[in-house]
Parts: sequence; structure tokens; C-alpha cells
Amino acid sequence: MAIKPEMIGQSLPPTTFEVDRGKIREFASAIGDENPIYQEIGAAREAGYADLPIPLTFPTTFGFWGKKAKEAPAGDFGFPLSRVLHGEEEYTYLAPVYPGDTLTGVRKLLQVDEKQGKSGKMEIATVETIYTNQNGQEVLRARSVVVIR
Amino acid sequence: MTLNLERGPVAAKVFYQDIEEGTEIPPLVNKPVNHTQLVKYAGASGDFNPLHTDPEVGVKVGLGGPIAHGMLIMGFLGHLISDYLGGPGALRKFGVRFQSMTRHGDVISCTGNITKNTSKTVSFLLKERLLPKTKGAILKPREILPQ
Repeated sequence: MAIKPEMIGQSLPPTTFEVDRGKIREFASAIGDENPIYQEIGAAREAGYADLPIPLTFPTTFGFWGKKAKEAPAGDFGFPLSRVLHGEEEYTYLAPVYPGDTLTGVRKLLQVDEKQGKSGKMEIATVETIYTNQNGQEVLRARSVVVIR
Repeated sequence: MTLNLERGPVAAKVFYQDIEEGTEIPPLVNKPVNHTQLVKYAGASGDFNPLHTDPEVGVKVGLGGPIAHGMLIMGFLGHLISDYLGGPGALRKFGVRFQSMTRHGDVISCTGNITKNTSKTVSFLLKERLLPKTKGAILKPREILPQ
């Protein structure tokens, strides 16, 4: 197994991410979403948001923050990145996230399943990350499934 | 540069009572995925895996060339659903399963249907032409009443 069995159920040390307007603007532009609520505070307020809201998939940036080119969140548990494919991603949004928030994420390896694929055995790992804001409020849960071929 | 070929950037507003099961969400057709967009997305997301941005690496690992970030495609679907709902704030849960790879030149068109409208949640099944098939999106109805 590429994944050490003792890693299952383990959590990694917490990581932090500061949400800022520039990153939100850049991210919305990169996915081609030109909704002005991601660019102008006036437009965001008019739409009922306190500040620029985060695009739905913006939380993907939290895990990559501060990492080098050949690092990725999937590598944090020692998964061999060159053999890792992204299988599933699911976000549960619990509370709004705005610029100025500092989020702390704790990543936990929930389970590992072995499956027989076309080209041999594959391992399927499910990782959950729970993000809490500076007030101790849980704001987001992210569940990722990665396939190690 | 606009990537949305069919609609303006202004979000539509939707009301819970108007959401009927089976209703189709207005489609979103993106411009063809190209190298520039993958580089831009790499910078914005922080995912600098060279599989997406270095054309030679995709060839070397046997994929026949660079592939798009799966999360970019999920981003397209997020764009679709948040435009439909008048912003991202109404969404409670959003999940996808990645099924195939997107390459340079692929046009990803996104659409979806309302699959369920209970008194508590509204569920969607979002689809795109090439990948990924979503598992669905759930939102709280009280949060989609932008009145």
C-alpha cells in the first residue's frame, strides 16, 4: 500500500489561510466568472453580501496556500503525487467567508479503500478538512477523494 | 476577456417558489480551454502541478499532453449554479465526481436540472459535456429568497 495504514484516522497539524480580496478577484477571473460581486464591493453589497463573497470552489486555494510547485494537499499524507488523480470533491458551506477572515484547516484521513482497476490495484483515499474562522466558528467542510493508481 | 459566450455577467435572481422539479438551468458555454487559462488558473488556485501547465510533462507521463485542473471544471459548474441562484451564498453543499480529462481546445458546456424541491432543500443535478458528473448540489430554501 502506498498509504501507511497507521495514517488512517490521523489529522495533520492545522494550517491557516488569510482570505483577501485580491485573491478572490483573481480566482473568479481565472474560472471565467465575471459576476461583479467578486470584483467590486458595491456590487457585492447590493447583492446582499457584507464584502466580496468567495466563489464556490475558492476553498481549493486554502490547501495550496504557501506550497511549492510540486506539493499539493494530497501529498500531505505521503501520497505519491505523480500517481494521484482527483476523484471527487465536495464542499459543505456552513457560514459565510469574507475578506479579512483567517481560516484554520485541519485535514484528516478518513478512510482508504483498495480497488482492482484495469491496470492493477488502486487505493482510494477520503480526506476531510474542517475550516474554522478566527471566531472559532466552523465555516466549511471539504471532502476530497483521491485515487492513487 | 469574457469566457461566458451566452450570457451577461449579471446574475439572475431565483425564488424558491419558482423552482420546479425538472426545470432546466440556463446553460453556460465556456470558451475552449487553452494553455493560457490553465496557467492563469494555476496561479489563482495555487495548484502548480506541471501536468496542467507544462505540455511536455503530460506527454512524459503517458497522458498524451496537458490536462486541465479538475477543479477548474468544477469552477465552471459553480459559476453556472451561482449565476442561477443570484450568487454563491445560497448554496449549502456542492459536490462533483471527476470522470474524464479535459484537454486544450475542449469546450465545456454546463447545464443542470432541478431534481428535487422539498420544503427544506432544493437539489440539482449539474452536467457538462465532457466532465465531471456532479453528485448534486443542495441549498437551503430560506437562503434563496433574495426578496
